[in-house]
Amino acid sequence: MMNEQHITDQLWEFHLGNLSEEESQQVQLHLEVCEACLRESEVVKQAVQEMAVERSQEVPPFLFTRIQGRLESVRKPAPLWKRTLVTSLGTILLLVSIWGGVKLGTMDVRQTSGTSLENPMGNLAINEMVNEPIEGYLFDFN
Amino acid sequence: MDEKQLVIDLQAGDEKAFRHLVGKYQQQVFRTAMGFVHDGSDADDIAQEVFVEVFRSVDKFRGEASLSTWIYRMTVNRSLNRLRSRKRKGFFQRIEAFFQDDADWTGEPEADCSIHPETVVGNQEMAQALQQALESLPENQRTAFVLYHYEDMAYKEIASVMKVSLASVESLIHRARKNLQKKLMNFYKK
Repeated sequence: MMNEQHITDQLWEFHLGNLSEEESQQVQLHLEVCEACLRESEVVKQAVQEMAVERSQEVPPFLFTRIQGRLESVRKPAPLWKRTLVTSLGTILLLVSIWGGVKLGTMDVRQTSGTSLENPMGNLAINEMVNEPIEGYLFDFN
Repeated sequence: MDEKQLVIDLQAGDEKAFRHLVGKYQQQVFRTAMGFVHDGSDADDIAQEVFVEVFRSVDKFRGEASLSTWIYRMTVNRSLNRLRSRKRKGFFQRIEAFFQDDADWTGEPEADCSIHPETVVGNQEMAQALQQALESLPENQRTAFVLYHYEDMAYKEIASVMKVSLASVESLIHRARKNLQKKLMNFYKK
């Protein structure tokens, strides 16, 4: 007899409406006389209701547009010929830049040496420290 | 459009087919994610991630399971990952709060969030209690419970998504319900 044993195992299915009419009636009869099961039944009922509220939430609109936005950054890679072309052009550009840099560097050295010939005071600032070391100032008590 | 054709079209990169797939499965993905994360914006984020992953990896889909099972698996994995990262964040926030000795920190609910029996339990509190109880379940119990209660899935389908036997699903759902009942009853008793 159901009234003699607790029915806590059936409570979820009871509140989900998955029991047969006969089973439901038996559960209801038991709940009328068993306070312990009634208390658990209330808790399960509230949980089932709460889940129903969450389940009823609709997907926010324009989901596909948001997905499309995300996909823009992860689109399938371009064809091989395109990637090869871009890589080659990039490499050529890099080599030309390096070559240009070297060329400019050599020109600069020549120009600098020309300037130092015209202006012998050009490197004075660097050589100053050699001629008058800093210790000279620090220990010069006179 | 039947599933086989849909997969073929998706693998060919057909945008119309992808739009059809999103329309067909978006509610299921969102609802399942909701069952795990209980937050609309997080569930929306997970749904986006799932469909992006579907788009990127549809080439690898071999049809061993149905398309919906494959999508459900992705949703469950993404949702569980989200919960793990939330937990990690919460852990670091607690450490930070400990070292900062910050009084106004509100990263984690206080331990004493119990409701007195005479108080009528509001929806908000019930929702919070249910979330906490669900989050305290082991991952496999939670997954089986969510798929059954949020998605109305049959035990057989759940077994297929979780790659476990039918008996295991039954046992997982039974244990999940028992644990939840116990935790929710404790919550009310406090």
